[in-house]
Amino acid sequence: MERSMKRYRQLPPAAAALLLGLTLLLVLLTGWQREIVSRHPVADLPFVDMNRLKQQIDQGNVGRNEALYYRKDYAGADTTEIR
Amino acid sequence: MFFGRLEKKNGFPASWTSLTWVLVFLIAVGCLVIGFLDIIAPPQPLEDGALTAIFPDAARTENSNEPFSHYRALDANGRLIGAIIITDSIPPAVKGYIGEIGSAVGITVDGRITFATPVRHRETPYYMEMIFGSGLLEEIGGLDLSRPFPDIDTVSGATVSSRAIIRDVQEASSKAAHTLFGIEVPPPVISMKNTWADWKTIIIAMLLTMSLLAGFVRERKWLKEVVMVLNLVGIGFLLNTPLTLSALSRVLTLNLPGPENTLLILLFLYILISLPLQGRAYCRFVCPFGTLQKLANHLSPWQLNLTPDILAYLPNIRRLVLGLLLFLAVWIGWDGFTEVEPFFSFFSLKLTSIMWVMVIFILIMSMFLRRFWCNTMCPTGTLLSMVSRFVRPRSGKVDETV
Repeated sequence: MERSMKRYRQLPPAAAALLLGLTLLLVLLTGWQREIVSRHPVADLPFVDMNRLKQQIDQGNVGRNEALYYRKDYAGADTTEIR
Repeated sequence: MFFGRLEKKNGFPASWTSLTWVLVFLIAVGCLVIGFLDIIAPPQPLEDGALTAIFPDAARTENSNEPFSHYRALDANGRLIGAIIITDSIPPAVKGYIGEIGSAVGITVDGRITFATPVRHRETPYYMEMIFGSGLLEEIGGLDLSRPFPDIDTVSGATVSSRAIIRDVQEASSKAAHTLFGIEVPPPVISMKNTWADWKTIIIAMLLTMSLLAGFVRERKWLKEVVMVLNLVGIGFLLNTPLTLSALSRVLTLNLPGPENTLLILLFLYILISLPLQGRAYCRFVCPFGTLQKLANHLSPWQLNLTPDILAYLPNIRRLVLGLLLFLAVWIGWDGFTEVEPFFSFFSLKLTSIMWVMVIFILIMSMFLRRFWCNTMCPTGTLLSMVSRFVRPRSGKVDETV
């Protein structure tokens, strides 16, 4: 569509500021979500009982991959399991 | 003042502009320092939990530096039952998407791999998540090194990283099994695919050459639009390899792409050539998400204009957002904040829930405000814009918007 066929309107500064704020909020929320779903070595967690972890691996309750890399967003389930 | 020229026309205080430039400059210098310190820092030892997960049969482990740094795995009676090696302590160094990869590998005395997993790397977390969830590492676990190493499939979407991990584990564990336990290991058959002759490399090379040539053509808008659509399909949906803050931040911390990462190398080469000659040509007609926004803009008969005041603020806001993201990702270590750009995972359609909301919001806004994301937030475009100010200072063009 040609530029000349479009109808133009001025966006009030307050609305523009609101849009920018909303976009920034979405950017930060996305970053936060990406960060917490990234995996971290279970050994980084200070509260993990290593003997219990080993027992869980031996019993096949915790996969080695899961034990080594741990999703923070499943914190409740995984922490209880490993603890 | 050099930095203040931009916004003077709207009466915007030049000191604010200078401040945002100085802030981003300081953060970028900090990133370089952090990257350098990271390179010279001695490798961190593995934690007990990680050793247990890699070699569950070991009652305890002890360090050994002969003939290379590794952990000896011992049973309850102190008998040697295997070893845990870190591949980056055994040559050759294998580079992944970015930087060298160090994988921890457990090897039993009879030459069986207990488990292998990357522990030291600068790969993008998003791609590593794909590898961890793919079953690749489980496939490597249990392999018998006295037999020929099987041809393990790479992970689609994380090909470069997964290929590097397989090659790295194979080479290092074969050497370790032979040196430590005297196991006769068949010579490694590394399927070294020539990535420079790969179809993906050829396609991106053609697209970027075409884009570079189109950048020199004046007028002929249709030609540039054809190139844009081809880049949307090729670099976007087919190869899913747009330039991202994630890749740029790794370069900023001195982690350069490995030789097999041909797509990123070619993309950087294009930027190096086009930025001094054509400014932000990448943003104008190579970035697939930019084209997508432009297409969205064609759908609406109504357009919104921003007031001069808001327009004057935008470059500073973009620089502050860029500085904030780099600060959080590199200084604080929250890597996920370099993965916020909608094009980071949009073309693979593997988006997180909030990212879906953001992409839809941006595309809807782009219908009414031209290239909404590019002109309001895009950290990659902002970084290119800032660099272009230095590499083409006499162009007289203000390359702030696209």
